[in-house]
Amino acid sequence: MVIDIVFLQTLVNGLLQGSIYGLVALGLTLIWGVMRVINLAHGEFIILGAYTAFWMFTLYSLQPLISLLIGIPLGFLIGIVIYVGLVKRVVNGPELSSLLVFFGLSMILQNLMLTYWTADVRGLPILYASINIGSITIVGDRLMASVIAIILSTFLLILLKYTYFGRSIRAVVQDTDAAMLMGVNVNYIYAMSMSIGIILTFLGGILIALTTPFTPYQGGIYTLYSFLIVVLGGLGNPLGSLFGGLLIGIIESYTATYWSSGISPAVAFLLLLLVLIIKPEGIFSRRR
Amino acid sequence: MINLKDLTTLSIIGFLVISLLILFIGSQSLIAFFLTLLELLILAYSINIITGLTGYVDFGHAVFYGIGAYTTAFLIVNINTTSVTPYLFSLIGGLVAAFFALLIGAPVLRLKGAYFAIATLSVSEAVKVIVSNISALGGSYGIPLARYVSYDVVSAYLAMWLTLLFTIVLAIWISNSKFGYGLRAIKEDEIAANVMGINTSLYKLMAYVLSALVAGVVGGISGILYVYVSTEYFKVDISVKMLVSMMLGGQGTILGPLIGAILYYVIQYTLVTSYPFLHLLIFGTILIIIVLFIPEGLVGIIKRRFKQLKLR
Repeated sequence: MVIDIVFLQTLVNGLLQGSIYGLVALGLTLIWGVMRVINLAHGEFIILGAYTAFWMFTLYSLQPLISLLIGIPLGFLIGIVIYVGLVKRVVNGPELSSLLVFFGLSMILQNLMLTYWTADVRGLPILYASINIGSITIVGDRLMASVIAIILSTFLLILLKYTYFGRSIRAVVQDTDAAMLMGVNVNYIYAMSMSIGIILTFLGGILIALTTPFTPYQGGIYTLYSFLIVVLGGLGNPLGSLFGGLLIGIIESYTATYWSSGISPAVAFLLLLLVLIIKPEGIFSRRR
Repeated sequence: MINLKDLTTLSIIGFLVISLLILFIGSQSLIAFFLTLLELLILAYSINIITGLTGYVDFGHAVFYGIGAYTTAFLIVNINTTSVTPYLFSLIGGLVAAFFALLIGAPVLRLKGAYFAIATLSVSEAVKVIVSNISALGGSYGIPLARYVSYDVVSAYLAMWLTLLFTIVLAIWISNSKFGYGLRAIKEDEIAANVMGINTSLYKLMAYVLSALVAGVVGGISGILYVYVSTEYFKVDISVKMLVSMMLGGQGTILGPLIGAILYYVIQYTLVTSYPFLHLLIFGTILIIIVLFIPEGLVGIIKRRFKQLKLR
């Protein structure tokens, strides 16, 4: 049997990119699942992460791997500030309030990035050598980003599954009131989930800088991709998000190869709609 | 003693009269200034029908505005009629938008809360991407109309004003009808409303279709006015503009969209003219402040004030 090389190459590219999408979506699903607020500024934080990697490399020739270490405290700080300053006030309010607060935040971030860093397309040069397996090329930068994304995702999954802290988070996702009655400090869990969510988003952005060129305008599209992944995987289901990320990576890769890269967002959105209508609890989640 | 109802009636009649007078006595620039305000007002009333009354946050309402605009532009380009006014096509644009709302509303309105917001957002983004890939609709370039219609502020103003009049009459009718009470019941508690015998699916769908109809007509008129239609008409910013104008005034009220849209418009106009590069930044900040400090809108504040006066 002859397997088409283009077909395989597309699959590999999709899987590599998809693992990064999965990591990025973890940030969104954590915040959404725990607090039931949708971070509409999610994409802007991704782009902010990408800029962090870009400037660290351009100005101080620091490798993106070192930017990751800077991204952790930075993301943590931003998360805490946003929680205390904004989210805490709207977390129990109507949907419209939290949606508009985050939309306002995304406007502020996008406008700041555009004003100070211009709308130029930015990207990192190729840093790592590619690997050839047969006729398939694995781009080094993508492989590196993908491996890091998988490590970070695994780390979060272990944290959620096996620590007391992780169990508290999962308890809040399931039932906030019951968790509170069981002695979980919900306020603390909210703040921590916000911070961890922003850290993951930030780190995802740094990895995206390794694989894809970016501009301040692209935040919105990443936000929608992340929604799609979270919805596919099921709200508050981190493992589902990872699978969702891989699936979206593959779908994007195939539509770009065999149809047109311009249309792949439309395919993604229609898929999102379809999943929302047919199985709103997510295709990777068990019956609730 | 003036109450909220009298204040609403007075303000609406006052605004309608003033905005009509401006057409006859105002300068060209004042007419243009008011024209954009009328557009925003209608859009705020439009989203008020679905989001304000039922509480379903439509984050992609611009899709109907865009569909109305594209339908109108497509008809103008493809039907060679010089005898009828192009504004007639904007009515068809509204009907097409309403039909689309019927198709998309049936499944999407089953979703609740944040899921509904995301679904509507993704509908509008999907339509935007699809339209920009259809060459018959001009692709990502859009449809220029300058060859078919001329830039005419006065006719556009009249069309917009009539649409506003229709929209306000519609809003008042809904507010006083069984339909309106049903919608408000859905906002309070959908399950309870259903148990009380309200056909909630039908009511929500009707509200969605009516709000799409109005938004579609406005989109068509704007397309003719600016003699250009592009995928910018689908931008999420337009949906947010409607939501914020409505929220600033007061959701689900008749006075709310009026004062909200006027205040929004003044703020935006001032910011764009004084801070051309940073206006989105300042606007985002104002948006957050509005949501955090006056979530019930200006009408809520006025209502509280009246209550205090009565208690005294």
